[in-house]
Amino acid sequence: MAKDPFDALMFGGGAPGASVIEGTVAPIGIVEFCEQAYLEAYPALKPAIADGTLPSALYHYLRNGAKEGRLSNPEYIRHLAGNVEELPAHGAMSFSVDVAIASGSGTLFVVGWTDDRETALTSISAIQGAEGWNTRGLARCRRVDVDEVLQSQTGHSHGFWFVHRLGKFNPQAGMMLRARFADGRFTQMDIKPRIVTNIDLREIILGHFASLQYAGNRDIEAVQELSHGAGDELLLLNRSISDTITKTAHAEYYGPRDRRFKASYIVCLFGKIEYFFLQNALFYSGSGAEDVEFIYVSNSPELADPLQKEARIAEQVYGLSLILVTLSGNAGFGAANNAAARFARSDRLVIINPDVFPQENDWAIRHEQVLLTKPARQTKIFGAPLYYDDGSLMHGGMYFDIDRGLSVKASGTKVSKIIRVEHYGKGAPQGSSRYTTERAVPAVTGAFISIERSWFEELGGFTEDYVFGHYEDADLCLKSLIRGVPVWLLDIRFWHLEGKGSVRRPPHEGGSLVNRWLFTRTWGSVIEETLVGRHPAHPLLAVPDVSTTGNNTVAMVNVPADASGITAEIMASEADENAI
Amino acid sequence: MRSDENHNNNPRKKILLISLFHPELLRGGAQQICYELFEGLREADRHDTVLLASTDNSYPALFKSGARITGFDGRKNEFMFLMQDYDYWWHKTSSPMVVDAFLDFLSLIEPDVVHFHHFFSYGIDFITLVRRVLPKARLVFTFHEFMSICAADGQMVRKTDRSLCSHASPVRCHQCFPERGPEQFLTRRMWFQSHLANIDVFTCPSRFMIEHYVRWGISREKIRHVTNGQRRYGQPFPFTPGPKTRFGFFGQFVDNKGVHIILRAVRHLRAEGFENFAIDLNGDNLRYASEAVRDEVEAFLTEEKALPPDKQIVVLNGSYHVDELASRMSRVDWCIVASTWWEIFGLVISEAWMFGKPVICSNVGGPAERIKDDVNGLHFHMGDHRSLARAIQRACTEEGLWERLVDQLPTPPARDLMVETFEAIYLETADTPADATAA
Repeated sequence: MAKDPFDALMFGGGAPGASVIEGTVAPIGIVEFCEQAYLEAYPALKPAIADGTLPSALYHYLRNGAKEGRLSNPEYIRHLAGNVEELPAHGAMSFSVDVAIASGSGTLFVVGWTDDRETALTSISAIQGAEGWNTRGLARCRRVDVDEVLQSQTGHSHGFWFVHRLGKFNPQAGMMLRARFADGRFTQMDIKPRIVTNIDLREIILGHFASLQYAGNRDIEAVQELSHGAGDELLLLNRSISDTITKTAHAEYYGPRDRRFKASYIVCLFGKIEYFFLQNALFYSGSGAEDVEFIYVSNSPELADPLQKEARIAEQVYGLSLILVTLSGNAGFGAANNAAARFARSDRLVIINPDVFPQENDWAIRHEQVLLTKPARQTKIFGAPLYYDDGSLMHGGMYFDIDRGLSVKASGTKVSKIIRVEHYGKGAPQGSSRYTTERAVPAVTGAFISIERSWFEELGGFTEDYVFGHYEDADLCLKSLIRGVPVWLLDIRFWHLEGKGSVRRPPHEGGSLVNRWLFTRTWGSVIEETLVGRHPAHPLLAVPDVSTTGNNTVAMVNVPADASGITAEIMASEADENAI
Repeated sequence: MRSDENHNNNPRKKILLISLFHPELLRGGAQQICYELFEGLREADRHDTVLLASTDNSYPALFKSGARITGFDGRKNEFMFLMQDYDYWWHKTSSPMVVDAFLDFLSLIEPDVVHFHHFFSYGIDFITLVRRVLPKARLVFTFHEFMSICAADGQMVRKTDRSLCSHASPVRCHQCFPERGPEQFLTRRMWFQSHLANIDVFTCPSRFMIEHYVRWGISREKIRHVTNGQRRYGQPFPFTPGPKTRFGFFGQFVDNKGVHIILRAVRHLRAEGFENFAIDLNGDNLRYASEAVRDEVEAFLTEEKALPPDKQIVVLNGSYHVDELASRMSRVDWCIVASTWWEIFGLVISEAWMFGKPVICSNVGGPAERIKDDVNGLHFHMGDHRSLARAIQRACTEEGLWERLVDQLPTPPARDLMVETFEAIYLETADTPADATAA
């Protein structure tokens, strides 16, 4: 990124070596084709479209308009630019690209800044030979360095960044970037993106995203900015990485191979190896442990060799049954667990974090007893109380709350909302039963989730769109809830050294923000309707007043067969209104 | 493996002693006692005894290519365990080949009893491994310090201010290791306890250790006091009248042995004008001391050597073999044990008693338990060189003190008694627990 944007301002902007043209220039073919603007510029086409003679304006453009140069018509440009009355005269637009990075498979990431206080930057096109792409999914941020040079005190977000799939793309060749402004002006320049892998690109983007500054509340603003398109593009990039990684999952078996187990404990490892042998020792020393299997799935390819060695040692020392699933990269918590679940040799999956350890020696028997003695509706999916190393409660179920923050823009200030996930009873005394009472809860942490395998599969497993990890657990619980099965908290106690399982780097912080945006977008309306707060009104929960009573009565009500459809409808109608 | 029937009915047991280090390769109390036990069991010949002693890379030539366990110097039933890929925090090897070799060794030896003298250098998880493959074997573990409890080299000395630590807890341990979160000490404790849970009987050479381990989580019913016994290296020297002003230090020149406390006491007495005494330093391994202590000791010794011979109080005699002990002891009237940690036993105390020398010791741990102040020795405040200086001055000047204390010296614990006590523990069953306490 340019250290000093002043140079760019002086010389009209642009990356080193870029050729810059300012002024009103014609849109670039189909890249900037706009159906509505085309029809406004050529209204004679409207009847033909109305009676079906002409399928679309685009069809006309491709058949005739392109060779006739119809996009150069000032009328088209006027409508494309937003129906400005008059096209402005030539004038310099301050626009600069600091970073352009692309992955070989064709995702482009661009960071830059612009002084668009008077006329907004609306879209950016990338053109390479005969191919072109256009995005309006521009995320904006504060650029203190630009503010200083421009002496801008308006709180305007001069920074911009975008992620965009290019499709067919020649990584060896350069490309032209064209920025379009609301008044119809363009600025364009040549760039030559640095080429990296998809995984590296994800790291770079998320690290960048985590470092950005905003005029208002950081989380609120960051999440807002993702909603313009950058968020979806990031999810696509992330999903393509996860899919590629999980397709090559490599499994090695230790201990007896041809047998079934009472439960399959799935642990997603990342970064630290010691939790592997600590769990081996602490889980396998318990009675009944011989009837369960452990499936470790590693999101850290650099641990492949030491993990294999440790697994061999564990096989000898503990005589355990273990499957080690090695992934070639970090597929994320959801995708990794889903991949591991496919190897399970039981009908019960228990998802646990690597930093979860049993408090009681008979943990396996207690888990089995829960399955045998509790009503099936309580054990289809359930969590457990988790404790900090100091003995206090870390987790007694999870509930949802809404953060409201001010989103500050030059155009105005508005209240925005994002969902926050909270744990019941963090720090409560170990002996207190207030938060550990067996009951249905809105969600439980993915640090411990016991779930019927068939139900897990019916729910589609963990949603794999979340980046690295966070929120998949609540997402899974809500998927279950809207299908009529609330998650329960049942009394098997574990230690959880929360937050100490791996080192968090800026890309993880960026991933968390993306996940919070995705979770809010997916579940915001559902949560806002009946699931907000410590005492949610959702009829399937009927959560006892955890602040006053241990009552665990649960009201079961009939829910529509297609509850998810109803929820989707609520989301769609609410989303526009509330901008959650 | 042999059948369980053979294991249980044959009165002649096969005993595998697992020792951290071999005392002939790396000196230390734990390995010395294990080797005494090995020799004693072999001499008694009531059972078949095998020793597996580890070695680090102090002698690279012992690491034969591709080998993890080898013989030792052509001796019958003595084997070397070659440390590899050892994790000094979790105390485990990360080499599956080492585990395979140990497993193979167990299947060849087929022990009825496995007696661990420490886990260091093998790995604490080897205990679980032995229990899994030898479910009927009797597993005995002797604590030689507090490494299970304390990550600071098992010394239970706080790294914050060098004070003695009374107990471990996640936050207290985090204070000694700020770079590690409290939760790591919870997992550390759970890790050690999960493996130690496979042990049938624990032993400690001093009674005070038992309280530390019980407080930490070992069942009192499973832990016994078995004093360290040694063969007799010599007899008390004939009494010679005259002042008793010669003092000896025997041991490692590492921080916790407190040689620097002795030198500070010398400096203090010299400053007071009291110079009519002599200190012999016997031992070595100053290189393992902290930089601060090493610099202090080296600076003192350099200054001392620069003095005219008749002004020198401290003489450095260097390291010694046990065969030289009588000669070294003959040059002193008193021994000083100036340890600045919970010295768990103090073999040098037994050795001093063998030669009729009373001991001046720190007032903590095993020495304080074994030596009665002003009855058969003298105490001084641990780490306080002024207190030690007063004790030295009193020892030099109080008429009849030396003779009075010598009259009360206990008989040093005998090796045979230790051997018989351990044999009883090896053979005991749930119905017939042995009286494992040997004075």
